[in-house]
Amino acid sequence: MLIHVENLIKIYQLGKVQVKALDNINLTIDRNEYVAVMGPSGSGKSTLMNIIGCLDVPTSGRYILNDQDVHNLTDDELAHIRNKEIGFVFQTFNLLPRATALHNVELPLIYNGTPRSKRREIAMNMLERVGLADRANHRPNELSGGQRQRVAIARALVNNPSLILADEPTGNLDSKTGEEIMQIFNELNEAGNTILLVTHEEDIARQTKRIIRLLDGQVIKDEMNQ
Amino acid sequence: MLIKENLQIAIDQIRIGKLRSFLTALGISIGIATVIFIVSILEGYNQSIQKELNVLGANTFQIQREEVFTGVQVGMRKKKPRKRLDKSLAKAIRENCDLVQFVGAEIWEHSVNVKYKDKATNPTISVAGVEPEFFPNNGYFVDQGRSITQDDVRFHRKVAVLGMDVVEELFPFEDPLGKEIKLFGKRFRVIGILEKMGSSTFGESRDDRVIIPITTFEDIKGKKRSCNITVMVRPGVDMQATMDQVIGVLRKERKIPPGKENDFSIFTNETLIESFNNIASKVRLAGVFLGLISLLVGSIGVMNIMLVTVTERTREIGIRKAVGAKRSVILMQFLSESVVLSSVGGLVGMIGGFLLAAIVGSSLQIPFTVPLWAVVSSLVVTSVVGILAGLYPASRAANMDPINALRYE
Repeated sequence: MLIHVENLIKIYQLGKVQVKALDNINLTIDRNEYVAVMGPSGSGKSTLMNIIGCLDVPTSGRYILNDQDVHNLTDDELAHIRNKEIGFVFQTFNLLPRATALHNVELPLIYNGTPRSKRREIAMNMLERVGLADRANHRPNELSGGQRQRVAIARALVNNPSLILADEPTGNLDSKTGEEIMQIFNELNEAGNTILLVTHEEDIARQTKRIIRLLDGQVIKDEMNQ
Repeated sequence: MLIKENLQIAIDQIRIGKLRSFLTALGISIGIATVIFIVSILEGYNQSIQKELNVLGANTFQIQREEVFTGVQVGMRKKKPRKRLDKSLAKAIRENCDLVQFVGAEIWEHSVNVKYKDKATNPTISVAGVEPEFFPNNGYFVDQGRSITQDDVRFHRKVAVLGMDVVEELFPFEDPLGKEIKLFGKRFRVIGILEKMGSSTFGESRDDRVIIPITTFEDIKGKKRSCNITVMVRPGVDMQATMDQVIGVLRKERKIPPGKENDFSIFTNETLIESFNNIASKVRLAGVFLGLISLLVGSIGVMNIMLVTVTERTREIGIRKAVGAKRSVILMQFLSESVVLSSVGGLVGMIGGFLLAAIVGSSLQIPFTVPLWAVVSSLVVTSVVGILAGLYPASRAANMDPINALRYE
């Protein structure tokens, strides 16, 4: 198993009010799974995504990622795990606006100390894989939305992570482009990547192999997609 | 760690916000330029002074009514005007001090025009009314013709000894000896020409001089002006002992009661250098102080712009953290930026300061120097300023929560 979550609780302090964003979540995801997390806004899916992505830590409970106990790690240790184990794809792409596509893809490699020449090579390969080799020296504002998201996917793949976390990856795209992006995810999963996708669109979720539904911080349904 | 990448980011950022970076770094530039300019000029002065401060001949000292360099001295007490020095004092010293060899009084008039036929000196020259001792005491040598004699003084003769600059201007193709020049509206006969002297430490030519008898000078210009008295010590006699003797005579002549200060000043080449150094160190201190204030203001500017930058780039920080940048990496990134910004400012200021020193120095005819310690210390100071100004903004960036940073609009 790749992800094992046990009795996960996350409580936010909003002024004097305590908000229970995650209420006792138990979850196991194996390698090479293709999972969609669904739920209305406020259901806790973003919080779960942040914790699984090591951007946040739970208030209590256990989280084991790739045989590694992740809870109670320091910020720098979390940064190291994000770099090595997780590739993020965001709804708003989150590319560095002034850097070229190539440099954006290189970014995770810079932070794990890959030498410059090797960085170039790996990043170019990834851009080729998402079909953007000819756009390597373009900046994000010179690319279409779909192209930007493909750059982001190339960046997510560049460190060969154990898990790809996609937060509403088609949310800012028209349906045709969204379909193209989903096609890439489907191919990646077929190639052996584990993908966890957060979405509120049934159409998108239906393309995955397993759907986990959240409501009020609790898993209300966890089923294989037929 | 990631030094190359961080420097690249820093340089890119400065390039993107050229105007903003320029304005921010300007404070630092001005501070460094001030210090470099003052230090470089003073160093140049110092070098030339140690080598060639020879306003006076060796074994010679001068008595003047006022302190030397009074104009520059800071925080001087208010003083009432002193009694003028009359040439009779030179006579008194001559008669009462057995340790002196030559005593001569001299009076100066600056910015005078001298004419010969249709030619006139331009720029203007300085005229000295002197006694014969003027020449040995001040280190002037007559090259052609003769010097001013005791008889010239006694008979109030209208005779003149010319410096080389004056000769070159008025007599380019003629022998000046025996010719008549026009000075203060009177005719003077040229009796001698001075050896070429070159410039003094303070950049003035010492060849644009016309020397006439002191009595003739006073006939034309009146007796209101104070004399300078130059004294040469007998060979082998202690300078200080001679000075003490001369001071004693002067105090008696000028009826200064015991316990009261001298109402005249005495200086030698050494005391000139000393008082110059005294002023130089005050100017240097003032310069460094002004520079530091400017640096302080500049560093506040750097800090401010770094805080703005960090806020503006919150999302970028979030992205970098999400893909694995550690705290220390983000800290270093923004520290590098702040250090590069203030170092570039410092570098510009340094070049500006040296350029200004070279221009001003050349017009003052002092050698242009680049003191290495000033270069090194300004680079160190600007780096430290960069680090100090960047520390707080950079640590704010480093401590950002990645989730909030990613959501920042």
